[in-house]
Amino acid sequence: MPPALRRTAQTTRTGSSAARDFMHCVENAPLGIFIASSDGRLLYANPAMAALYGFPSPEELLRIVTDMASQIYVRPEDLSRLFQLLETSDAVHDFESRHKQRDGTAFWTSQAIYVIRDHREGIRHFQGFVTDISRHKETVEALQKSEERFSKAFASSPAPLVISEMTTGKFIDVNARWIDMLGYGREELIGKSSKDVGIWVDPGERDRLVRRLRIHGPFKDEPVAFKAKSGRTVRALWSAEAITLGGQDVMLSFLYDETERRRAEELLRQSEERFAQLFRLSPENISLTEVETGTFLDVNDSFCRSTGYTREEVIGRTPIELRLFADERVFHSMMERLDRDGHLENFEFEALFKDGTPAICALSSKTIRIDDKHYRITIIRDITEMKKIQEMMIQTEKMISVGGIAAGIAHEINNPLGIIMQAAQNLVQRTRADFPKNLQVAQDIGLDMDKLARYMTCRELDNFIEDIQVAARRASEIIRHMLDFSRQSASERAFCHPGTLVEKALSLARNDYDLKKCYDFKKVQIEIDMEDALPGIFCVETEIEQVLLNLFRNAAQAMAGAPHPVESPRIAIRVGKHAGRVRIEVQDNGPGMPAEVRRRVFEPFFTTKPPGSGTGLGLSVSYFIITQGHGGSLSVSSTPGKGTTFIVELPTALAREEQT
Amino acid sequence: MNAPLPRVIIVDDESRMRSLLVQYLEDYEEFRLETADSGEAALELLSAEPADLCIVDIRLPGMDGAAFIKEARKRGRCDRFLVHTGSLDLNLSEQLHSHGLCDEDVFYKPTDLDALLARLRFHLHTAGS
Repeated sequence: MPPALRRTAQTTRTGSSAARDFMHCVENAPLGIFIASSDGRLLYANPAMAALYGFPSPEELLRIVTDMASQIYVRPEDLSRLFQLLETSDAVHDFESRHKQRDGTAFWTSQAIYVIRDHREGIRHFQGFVTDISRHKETVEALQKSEERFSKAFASSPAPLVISEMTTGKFIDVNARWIDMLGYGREELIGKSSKDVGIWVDPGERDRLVRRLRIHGPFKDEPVAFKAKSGRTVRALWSAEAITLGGQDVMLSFLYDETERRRAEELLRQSEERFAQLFRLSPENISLTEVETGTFLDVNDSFCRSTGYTREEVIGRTPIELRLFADERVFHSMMERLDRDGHLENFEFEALFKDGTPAICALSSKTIRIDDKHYRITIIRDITEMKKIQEMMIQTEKMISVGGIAAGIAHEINNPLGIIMQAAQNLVQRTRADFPKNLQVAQDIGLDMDKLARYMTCRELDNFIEDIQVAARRASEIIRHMLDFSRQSASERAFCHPGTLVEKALSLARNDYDLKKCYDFKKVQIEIDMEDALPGIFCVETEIEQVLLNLFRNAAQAMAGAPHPVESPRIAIRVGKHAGRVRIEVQDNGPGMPAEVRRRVFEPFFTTKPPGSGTGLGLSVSYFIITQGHGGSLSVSSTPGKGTTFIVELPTALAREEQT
Repeated sequence: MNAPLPRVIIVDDESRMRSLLVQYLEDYEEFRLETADSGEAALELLSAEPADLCIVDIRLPGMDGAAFIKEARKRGRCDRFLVHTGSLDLNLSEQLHSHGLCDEDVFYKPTDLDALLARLRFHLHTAGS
């Protein structure tokens, strides 16, 4: 107890005016003051004390509170604890405990208790001072809770967090995620500066950002690079603000580890690149169009290669604008089907490429959705070559079966033809006036053979017989011709030079009697373009000449027979090497032929010439001579109005030897 | 009559063809002509008496012309043949070569009978000499 108070208390009893002043002071003090006996009974309480415990007056308090432990203390053991403290010490300060008011309302108090001793009797009584610290206590508790929350949030934050000294960069605290991010142990960090630990790829980065923090305040998402303990570079976004902690300027930093995001981004980028390459370099011709407008959004290299357009020319335009479809109506009917079904497989159409070449294409398309927008992914295949091969195969098939049938019916037709021929020959023989047997029979029946002969001439019977024989021979020729393509050539093969064959066939054409009747071959301008050093071919010379003559004759006849005669008829003959074969092209500038004629041109008996002027066998026999007889190929291409080109390809002598 | 005329058998399944051939050839009075409508029938004629030459069609009912030629030759009843055929089989000539015939002995219907007669005479005169 302060000496001043002790002195004052003694003075009170003396009843001096100072004592009255002192009493007044105690009675009006804003804190509870009391005196209790050594056994814990209240002897005195001031009005503030009474008010503290909810009593109207100190008298009322003293009257009712007879046992402090149960009536004042929420937990009576707090009082026992207080007594224990007072056994060893004459003064206890800041003793905090929960007390209760008269109505039971609990509140926090802080007490200061002084022991008043008597030298003889020991403890005489206690003097106590009580203040209500409930509000202070709440504040502290709230602060504690807040700190606890912060601490929990800090520790368990999924984002790496660090508190460090602003100036020195010394670590004050780091959370678990931060430790995970860089791989250092907490003990390696706390108390050391970030530069000492060496987490910076560029230590200047920290200085720059701290300076910025001081001048401009908090910053957000600054990209920084750290060095993890393993040496790996960790890229992160750094956000920080300055706070005061325990009177110290510290920096609270929040980091966003970008490593994962970057890795995911990199994977995504790689995947995108893979798919982009797949698209761009695919051997298939792929395009992507917008459904609403039908414009091209992207096309790949193969598309550009096959159509001849560059990407720039295509993107943003529609197939119609590019005239990709030879027939616009076909495009619209295709779109109808695509709109209806959402997909399309192998739709065949005639395409026109940039240089105007037509091509037969198969188109497959599918509507796909990306982010709520509809697109069409389309693959177009140029099947022109495939179609040609298909046609050729059908052709070959047809010819072989025709060959087989021809051989079968030849026998059946040749027998009656034989009878016709033999009967005619017998007629001739038995009407001869110089044949002994005839003369003998005539004489027997009194016939004048000379008169018979005259009669036959007068009535042209001899001509009729001649007609029968000529017609039978012609029919037999046709049959024999027809069988030429199923009959193996018995003629001798020889080593020939392609140029010589062409020259010989040309001279045959110039002197061709049949051709002269309708057309003068000499009027046709002949252009020969022959490669040097051509390999020889092993062939039946007359057969190949026959084929070439046939081609020349057809070309001349086509040009002569055109509805609008060709002004300067021309046959261009090109002889060259092509893929190990000798290739002879015969191109005319005649009227050309429509596709349906072109497809049937090698068919036996198919002819466009007027009846009687062609058997329709020339080209089919040529076809068999070249393909079956010589292992070569014969094909045709033609554009109506421009002309026709026949292409003969024959294995070189060398290639044939290797084959056998 | 000094020596008997050479015996010639015509083998053809077409009766009009057989007749026409006979009618053409008989006018020359150089051959004894007989006909058969099959290889089997011809072999029977041969077994009764060998022939100097047979004119043989290839497509015949029963055994074909080539088989007949082979058989007749084997039996030693005839060793000269002319083929007179309407068919144009691919490997016909090869097959016939193996039976001792050459391309000149093969006549395709419809044929010129004068040429056939010439060949016939050639064979029989060769045989006679």
